[in-house]
Amino acid sequence: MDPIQARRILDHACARGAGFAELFVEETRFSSIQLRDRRVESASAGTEFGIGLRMIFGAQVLYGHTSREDLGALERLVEDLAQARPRNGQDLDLGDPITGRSFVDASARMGRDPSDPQKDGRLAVLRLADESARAVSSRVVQATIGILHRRTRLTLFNSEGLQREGDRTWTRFNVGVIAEHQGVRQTGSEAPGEGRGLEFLDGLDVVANARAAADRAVRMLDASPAPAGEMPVLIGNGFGGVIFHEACGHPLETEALRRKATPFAGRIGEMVAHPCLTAIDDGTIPHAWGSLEFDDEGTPTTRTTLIENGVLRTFLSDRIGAAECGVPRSGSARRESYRYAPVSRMRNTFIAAGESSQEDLLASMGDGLWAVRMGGGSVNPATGEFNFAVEEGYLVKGGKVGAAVRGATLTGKGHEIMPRIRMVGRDLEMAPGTCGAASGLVPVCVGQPSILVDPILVGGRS
Amino acid sequence: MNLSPQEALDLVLETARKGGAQDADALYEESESLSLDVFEGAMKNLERSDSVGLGLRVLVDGRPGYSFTERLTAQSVRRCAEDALALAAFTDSLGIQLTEPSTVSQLDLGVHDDAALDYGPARMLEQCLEAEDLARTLDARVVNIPHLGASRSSGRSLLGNTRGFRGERCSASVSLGIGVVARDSSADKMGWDGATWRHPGAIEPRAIAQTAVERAISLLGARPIPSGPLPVLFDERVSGQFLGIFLGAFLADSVQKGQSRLVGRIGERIAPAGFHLFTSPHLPTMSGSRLFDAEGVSTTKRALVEDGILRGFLHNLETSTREGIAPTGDAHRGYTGRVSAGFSNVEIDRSAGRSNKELLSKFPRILHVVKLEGSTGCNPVSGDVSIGVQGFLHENGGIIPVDRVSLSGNFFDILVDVVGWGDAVRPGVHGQILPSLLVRSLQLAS
Repeated sequence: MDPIQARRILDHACARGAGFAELFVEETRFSSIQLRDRRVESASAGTEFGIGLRMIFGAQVLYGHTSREDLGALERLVEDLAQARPRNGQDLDLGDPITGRSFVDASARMGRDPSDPQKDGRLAVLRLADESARAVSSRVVQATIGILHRRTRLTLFNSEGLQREGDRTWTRFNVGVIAEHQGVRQTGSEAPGEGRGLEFLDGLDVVANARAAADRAVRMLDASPAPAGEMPVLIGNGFGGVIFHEACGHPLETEALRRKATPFAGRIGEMVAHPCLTAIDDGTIPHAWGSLEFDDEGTPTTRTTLIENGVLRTFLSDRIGAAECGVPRSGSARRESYRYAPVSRMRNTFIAAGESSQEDLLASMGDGLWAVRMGGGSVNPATGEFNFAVEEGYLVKGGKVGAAVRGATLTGKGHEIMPRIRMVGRDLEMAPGTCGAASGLVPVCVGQPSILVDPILVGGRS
Repeated sequence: MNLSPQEALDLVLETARKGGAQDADALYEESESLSLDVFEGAMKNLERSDSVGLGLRVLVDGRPGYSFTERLTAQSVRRCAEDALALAAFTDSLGIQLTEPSTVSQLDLGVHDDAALDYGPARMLEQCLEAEDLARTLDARVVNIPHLGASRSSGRSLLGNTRGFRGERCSASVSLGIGVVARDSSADKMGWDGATWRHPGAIEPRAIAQTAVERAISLLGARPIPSGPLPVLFDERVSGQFLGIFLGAFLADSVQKGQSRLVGRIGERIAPAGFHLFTSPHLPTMSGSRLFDAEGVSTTKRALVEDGILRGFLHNLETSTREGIAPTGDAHRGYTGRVSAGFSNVEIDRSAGRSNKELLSKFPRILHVVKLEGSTGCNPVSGDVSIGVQGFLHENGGIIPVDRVSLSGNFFDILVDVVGWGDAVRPGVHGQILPSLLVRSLQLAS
């Protein structure tokens, strides 16, 4: 979009009374290919294009978007929004204009774009994964493998004179396996991804990922129903961090604080977790799935310590959240696409590594459950109530690992669980995921070392 | 300069055909919406959206290639066709015949009412404030109203193929919802109510606020109850959410690819006698109602489960061709994705339904579930169920609110174990005509 044209729209928005206006111009190319049942089932490419206009009046946010690029359509959008605004809002000073350079090397994110799936190597990766998964066991009955590539080019203009250009690339590989034995069906999956082009696949151990997914599906065929009741649970590293993400990460976004919908309101400086726990949200990790040079308002991303040795330090903020809640800006404003107004969101959120080895953790838990691999979960941020599935679990008796169990869920309240994380391992690992909230689906990493929670409610069948 | 929807559809199909596709079908979609939300007496956000998109499937010697674009200039539309053509070289053949033009029924499904477009920001704000005021005054234990908003949306889609089929569907709706947090000495509880309608006159902000408050208050003081098996009534508020996790088992695609436990079970009993499950595409006003599916096949009401016996699956052209049966009209598609299948409204026959009161009185000790906490402990392939719930224990005439418990079992065992269902469904036009479900026994853990 022509900057002179953008300035005209922003001037028009301010002339209609907006204290702040912003244009987010995005063009994204998607490319995906999927193999299932040993066949290339689909191959797809697409272009997303649109312009998002945000006008802020005090604490009121007006947002509109269009896929039409002509000046007339944008002028109409300004008028539509200005006329629709009810005049009962509060005043808010948004603070200083956004400035500063990114801590992330933007050139590191460029990379190879998809071309022909044969020549660019994607077909070979799909076939290799399929063969590797099926080779694990005759009980493997189905494998679905996909590769997704996304490249977003964006330009951000705001009424304070800011102009930022962005070029963001993501590539993700996923493998899902179904194993069957005597009518019982179990699933296993792996889905690594990074913020870079197809060169991500060059460094990926496709065979190991396919085998890991197939192994898990096969192992879970022989698992017995999980036990029920309160018990110590050792939650495995990597995707286990989804619990912190859901149960503490979301309540630590200013978007929750603005609505007083978080148990952490007013608790900065207080002990909210066991002293062994430090938690960080870092948008600056090179190539990580949730990293960005600058956020979707143009603020450079940061490494933000949320909880330090059990003490709550800050919240994740976008600009309006920082101004309204009186916390520093963390460069956390994010949106799925031009269709959404940005709000405070997580980037790469993790519990920092501790000092315990896995043996120490198992030995000190006595009898309980080892949740090696977590599935997804959900949380109600207003009440803190959460519920997570254990994808792969084992019983632990007297510190010794026993039989595999399935069908377990972990239930509780986020702010009540934090003080019960009493040991933290040293095996920190990150895992990519997709987080859904008010501004759509955004790529994030969750992460943690193995952690011992004592006790937590396990829902099972036996 | 953007092309008109009709021009874009014609151009993309024509470019695909000239570029070597024997067949192609394309879907154009546009939508417009306006929504606002309110917090503590003031509007916080207002959003207006205006989206268009064109999705294409080409078939080159039967091999599919997919593409889409949100830029509707002639150049972008041609590129869209070229993308799909290039990718068709790498896929395996579907072996399908696209739908020939035919007379589509002129039945009015009532999914578009111009009155919805009159639901504007002033009225939305007024109704939200009315709901908020009432919610705050109804009960002193209401401490926060973090979710409160209203919206309207409308959409239009055009489907066309190289055989000459053309079909159009328009819809419009309005909605209002509120989430209320109530607090007592023990905990915070959230109560939610809201619905989507075709006509703004159907929205009753005060009734919605009152229901949300009652729901939050009723769960205060909730506590776990001892572990063990017990009968469960899934309220109609949650039956759709619960069944929805497992309805993928009825997709022919899942069945053919070994991803459904219903494989090979046609003609067998999977539910109790008297239990009928339909895909019901002609229900007036419902969101899933349609005269033709996403491949242009005419739709009809069909029983997938009849008197407890599995009768069929949901097909698109690819799966019906593979099975050698006539098209069933269950194809679903958005412009960005490939063709899948699904229910066009899911309906359980309620002619033998009873009131929840009557169902609860069938057992001396029974859990009435009104809230589910996420579905991730449920595996749609294996049927494993492990899910956190909240609700009420009815025992010896007393009622106790319950939380921090989870239920487990296997969905396919649970379905056979259904011993009754309700006579009411959740209000609104959501397309799930599903009553409460009474299950003889589930394992509860606390």
